[in-house]
Amino acid sequence: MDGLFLGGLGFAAAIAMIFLEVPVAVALGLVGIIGSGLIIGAEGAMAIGATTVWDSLTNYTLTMLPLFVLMGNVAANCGLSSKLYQSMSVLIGHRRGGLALATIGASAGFGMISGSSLATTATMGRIALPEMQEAGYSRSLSAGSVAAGGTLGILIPPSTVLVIYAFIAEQSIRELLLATAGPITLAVLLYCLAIWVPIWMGWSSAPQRTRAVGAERRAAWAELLPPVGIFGIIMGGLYSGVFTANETAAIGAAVVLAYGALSRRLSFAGLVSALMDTAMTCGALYLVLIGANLFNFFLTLSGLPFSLTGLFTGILDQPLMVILLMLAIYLALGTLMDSLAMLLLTVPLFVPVAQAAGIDLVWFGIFAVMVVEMGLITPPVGMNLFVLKTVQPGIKLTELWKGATPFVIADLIRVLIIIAIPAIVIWLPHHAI
Amino acid sequence: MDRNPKKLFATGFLLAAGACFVFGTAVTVSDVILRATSGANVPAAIELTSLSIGLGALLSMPIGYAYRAHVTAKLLSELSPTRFSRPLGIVSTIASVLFAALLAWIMGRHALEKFGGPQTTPDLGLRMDIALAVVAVTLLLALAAAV
Repeated sequence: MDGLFLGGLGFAAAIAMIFLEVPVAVALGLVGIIGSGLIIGAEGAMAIGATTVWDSLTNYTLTMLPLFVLMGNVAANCGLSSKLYQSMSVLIGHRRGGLALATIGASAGFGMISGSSLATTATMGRIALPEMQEAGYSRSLSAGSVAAGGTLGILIPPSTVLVIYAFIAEQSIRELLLATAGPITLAVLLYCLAIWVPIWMGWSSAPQRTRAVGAERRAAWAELLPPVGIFGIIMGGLYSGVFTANETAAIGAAVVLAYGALSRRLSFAGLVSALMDTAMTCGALYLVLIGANLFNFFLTLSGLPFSLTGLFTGILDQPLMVILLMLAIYLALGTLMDSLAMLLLTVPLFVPVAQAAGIDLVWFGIFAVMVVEMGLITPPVGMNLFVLKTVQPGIKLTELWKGATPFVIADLIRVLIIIAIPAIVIWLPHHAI
Repeated sequence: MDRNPKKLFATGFLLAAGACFVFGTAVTVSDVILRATSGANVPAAIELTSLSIGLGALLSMPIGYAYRAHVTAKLLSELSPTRFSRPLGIVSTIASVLFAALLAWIMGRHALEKFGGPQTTPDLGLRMDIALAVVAVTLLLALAAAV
């Protein structure tokens, strides 16, 4: 059978299986092994399978993944994520739209920890939605800020999705993490506008609350110091070049463990729970990476990525067209699947095309993650919106769409800005020490 | 205390995996501190970290299968749980068992091929056949958990 035909068939089979809720790792891995077997024979496919499993398990670069996850889980068990929402709610909740801003900030913090937009949306939906509704916020604004906040955390270091992109696309994780600084700053500014503009225009209601008193505000500031300090250590270490990305992850985990022990916020039961949650998450992530590697190998054998580059030949000298085409594909896929699944499926195909079109692959990684996350809140069928609907069945879909629209516009503007000014993404990584 | 064997088995494996991650953290942090203070390194720090963290991830895999904790894009079953949850669950289980069986077979065969061979890991000098046997046995447990 023609390799190219098999490649296309395998790709379609993987999408179909993921859509049918077969685990992502299983779908990619099965297609990878069976497809490779059909091209190079069973012996060759098994040899590749064995090498892939061993290399994925013992890859030094990937060790940062469990360490970042451990750091996040210990932080969650110390109560850092819930304190983040409470502190931000005290500090800015009295401003118009302040609770929505606090929700975005806390969702970003929780997203950093969980690494999943869907999990963040589900969790923050339960915490923040009732509080905003009680404060008189319109349901569309409340839901929109929870759904959008869930997407922001995935880009903030330590981003597990970016670590996985770095592994698959063979890019520097340090450069990718540094490249997030500009887009995150832009996102914060544009999300503020996405909250304020509908309020100013009278489309959403967000009543002001009473300002917290001095002692309460000081306590809230004090609660913000540990997460800010930990984030500072991560970004400071990476930026200064004092630590490698792997060392940063280990030091981050050690600092959070030390903070939990010294502040007595981490009980023994909390530590056990954090270790078990980390193990559960990492077992699943490593299996995904094994599946993705097997799938990549099969695609390379089939010649599909090179043929796709050939299909793009007519527009390779117009990188903007290539990017816009990919943007459309990601937005369409966002209606069907989770961000990780989308990236694992598309990165092996799109990276050779991006490279051929002269697009910086660090920039492309940030672009892909941003667009994939945008797909999750794009009406009518963004997956974060469905998760919110499940968490809060009382919310109408039309309210969810109305609430998500300003954030989708903000995301679209952000994507257009980084397309127009790529330096926002690539200046820092290319100029860091 | 809960004496459910499945839960005890899962707790044991997850805690062992967690201990591997803490060990990997300790090795890396010690290496950084040693380098900063005396310019020296922990011997074979990179391989120690890679192997301990890889072992942690491996030990977690059977539990991931047992508790169906894999990364899955749930759309249809979220939209209509009564209609889709059961049939899609069956499809997912069959595919998972097939994948677990393939991986266990591939690694078991590979471990047998290397059995008694001279290969060792580069820095620590651990025997590769033993390391591969550990992987194969754990993946066999993952297959049992998937079934």
